[in-house]
Amino acid sequence: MEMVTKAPGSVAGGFLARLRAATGQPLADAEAFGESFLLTKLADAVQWARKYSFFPYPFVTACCGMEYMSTAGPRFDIDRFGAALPRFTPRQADLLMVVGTITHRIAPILRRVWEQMAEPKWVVSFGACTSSGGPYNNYAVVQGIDTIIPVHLYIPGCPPRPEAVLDGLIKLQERVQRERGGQRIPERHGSGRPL
Amino acid sequence: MPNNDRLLSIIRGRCAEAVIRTDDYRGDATVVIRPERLLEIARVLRDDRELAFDLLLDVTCVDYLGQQPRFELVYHFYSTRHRHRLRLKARVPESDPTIDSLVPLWVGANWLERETYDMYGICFRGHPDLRRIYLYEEFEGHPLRKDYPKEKRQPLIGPGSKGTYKPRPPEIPHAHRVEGMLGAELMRVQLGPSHPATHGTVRIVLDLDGETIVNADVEIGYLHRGFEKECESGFYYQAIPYTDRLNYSSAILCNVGYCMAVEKLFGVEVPLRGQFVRVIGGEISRIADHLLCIGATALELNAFTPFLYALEARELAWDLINALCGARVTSNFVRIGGVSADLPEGFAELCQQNFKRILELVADAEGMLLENPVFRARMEGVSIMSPERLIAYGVTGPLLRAAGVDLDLRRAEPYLIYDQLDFDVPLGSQGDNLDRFLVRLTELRQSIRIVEQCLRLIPPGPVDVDDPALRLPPKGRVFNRMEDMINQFKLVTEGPKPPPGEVYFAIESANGELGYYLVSDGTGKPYKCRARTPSFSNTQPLAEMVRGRLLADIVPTFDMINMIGGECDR
Amino acid sequence: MATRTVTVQRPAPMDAPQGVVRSGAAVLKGMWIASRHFWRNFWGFVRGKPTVFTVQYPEERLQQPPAFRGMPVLVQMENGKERCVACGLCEWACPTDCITIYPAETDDEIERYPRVFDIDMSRCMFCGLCEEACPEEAIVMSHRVEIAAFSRRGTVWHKEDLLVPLRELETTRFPHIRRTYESPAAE
Repeated sequence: MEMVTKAPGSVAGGFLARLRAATGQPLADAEAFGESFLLTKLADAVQWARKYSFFPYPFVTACCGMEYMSTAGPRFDIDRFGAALPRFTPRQADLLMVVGTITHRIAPILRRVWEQMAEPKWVVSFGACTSSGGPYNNYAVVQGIDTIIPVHLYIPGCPPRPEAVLDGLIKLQERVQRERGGQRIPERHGSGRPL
Repeated sequence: MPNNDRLLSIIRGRCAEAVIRTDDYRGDATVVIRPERLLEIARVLRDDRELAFDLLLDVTCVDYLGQQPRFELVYHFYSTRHRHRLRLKARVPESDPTIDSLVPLWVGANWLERETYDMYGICFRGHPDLRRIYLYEEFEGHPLRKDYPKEKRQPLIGPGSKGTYKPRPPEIPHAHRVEGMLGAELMRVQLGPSHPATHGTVRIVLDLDGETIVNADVEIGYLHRGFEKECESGFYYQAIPYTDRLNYSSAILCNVGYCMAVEKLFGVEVPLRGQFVRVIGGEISRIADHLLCIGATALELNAFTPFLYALEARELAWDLINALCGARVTSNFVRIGGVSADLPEGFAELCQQNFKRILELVADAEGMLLENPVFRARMEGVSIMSPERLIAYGVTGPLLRAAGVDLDLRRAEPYLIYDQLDFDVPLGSQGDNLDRFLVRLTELRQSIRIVEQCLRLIPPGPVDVDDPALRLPPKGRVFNRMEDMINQFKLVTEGPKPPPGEVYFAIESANGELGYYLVSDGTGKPYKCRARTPSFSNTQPLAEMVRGRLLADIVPTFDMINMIGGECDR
Repeated sequence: MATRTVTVQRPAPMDAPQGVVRSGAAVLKGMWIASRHFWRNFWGFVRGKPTVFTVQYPEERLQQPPAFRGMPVLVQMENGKERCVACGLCEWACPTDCITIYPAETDDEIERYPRVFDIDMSRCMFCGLCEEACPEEAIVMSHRVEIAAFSRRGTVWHKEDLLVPLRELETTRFPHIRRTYESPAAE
């Protein structure tokens, strides 16, 4: 599944187009300048703002919810990364955290929640069950939520430690920062080596 | 230990012609009956003064593929008055898998029979509402039948798959449907399955008249992940991590129950030190579970600060579990024939230090909540249910004790070393949500007391059974002795092989009676591994508890039931 | 029997008029409790001995006990090779079937070795049964947990990724495993 988030560059591009339409002047120089410097800086700033103010929607079903609570709790305090305020409506959230086993019965509901979220949106697969089905390889469990929705970050662990979650969140922030103009994100293995 | 011979002779005397066979294996009294006489015998079991089996713990089925008749229905009963247990079995053929429903006698049989229908396709004559409970209507086949392949998946029904997905309007099949008071149309509200005020995936379909609940239908099964099928497909020791994920907020208790059930199959007992370590681990788990329940209740009643205190206290409890077994949530601590590791060095001091802080934090949380008018208004006098009704539903644990029934298996049938310990069993007086909350608070403090006693009394010695048939030899011996190396290979590749037979063993988990029913056919894999989980039975009365009350009362009631998804949906 | 039953003490009902007074007192009490936590932490901060419960990850990490179970890794010996002899016991013991081993042979002192040793971390449930089954102390649970990746491919660990020098493990998980050698059960 192609995972290209709509680039903020195009937002600013729209602004330029409107400017061109309003003034009726060709803005070739300005456009070139803008694309090369102004807009990339603007896009960087937008992405910077986005990465430090995630609004997660915790789709909590199972065991991983215990560690999710812990991550949000006093010791690990996900608020230090700007992702503390859970929005319990998908329309206000931009980070879908799928926490816990997704069974065939709840899969349509997850899909629907994802569809209701506005762009740009990211999906974190929290724990083994969501990443691949984990220990449950049987008739009832979806073998990885990436079979129904795109996933941007996989956090292995059953359940993952809060440290692993925070590390994953930092990685996701890096990814969000780089995500501009639909460019591909360099793949990385869990150990840090390039893929 | 109750006298099973006497019990069985009474039953044989009361209904001689309906009983095919009775036996007493490893302390479990079993009666095999003719299926057509089930209802009649069940009535005798319930109403006879000497038997008085008022608690229907479990209904399940075993699929003996290739035998005639194929399906064996298994019922487990418990008597809260005489404290004895009974297993009732009846066989039905594959051609006509039908048996009488026990719902007229025990209202709690409703969900249990629905589950058996869902998993095995057994039809219950006279059941008011026989539909699937864990799986969805479109699912074909019955997954726990032995001829259903474990990995056979069915197409996803929903917007993510092919085919069109139409959310079906849920129907509420209730006998007690009340028409709206003002003659107005009832409003249908769906709570869940992903709702912030329910920590667990459950859908409650409500019919509201204004804000009053007229009808409620609790739909579970969103987290059904095939616990039994997974256990049956692996060796006995491989099921231990899956038991962690039953009640994930008190995983060690689930481990203890399972391993003791397997040990009962083998007929072995763990050395004394091992039993102490199990009790210590289990009670710390119970502390963590109660802390979660208290904290989540506070959170969902909009008190955020006590939630943070409870979480901080739970972190401290988890630090102890982490030091014990290296994991926080899914501990995988207990082994068949022992525990994975002895207590680490300095554990007693760590306990002392953390318990001190936990008690401070609990006192803070309590101080913020108990006098708070909002909290009191939402807890006091809410969702009262009579003890008789709770027992008919099969409810156990703090929920039942809050209604004043003295049923704690640690006291009623002491297992491990609980008979050597000194602790109080808290009971409630009114049975409302406030009592349930207070019972949990008191139990938490008692658990700390138990652990402190254990740490004082713990004797030196081995923690594991030295028997290569069920416990891996210590690593040091595996490296040096050929014999132990062979034992290690044998045990890992073939699994521990208990003698053929069946047992039921129950412990008092944080939410009530957690029982395991195991059937061994002599191989290294369990033929049937059934968990009788408290959350399942405890969630069932929710609909009745909230009927006639306000919408807002669902949240505290649901919290005090403390439904744990993994345990309820298995 | 040493156990006994106690009936929990319910707080007095909040009826008016005392209830109103007590409600007001409860609010003050709540503020007192919360502010006590604040002043305690503040005082710790002033004295330079922080009592804050929060761990400033990633700059600061929790001290983990030896029993800590992170991801399973392969022990790398001094000569750079793995200790594993590809007997396949961990593959047998794994409840989730996340380990894949293809054995091969060499002319070394230990003639068997795993040509391929893959662990699918997205399936692994960190239960430690592989470590327990291993007769060579070749696969152990490390202290590593920070292994998030952007794709499923990034969660499959090959042999080269899994190798961890013996030195590092000597200070982390080995003390826990080796404790069982001297435990009374080993007699």
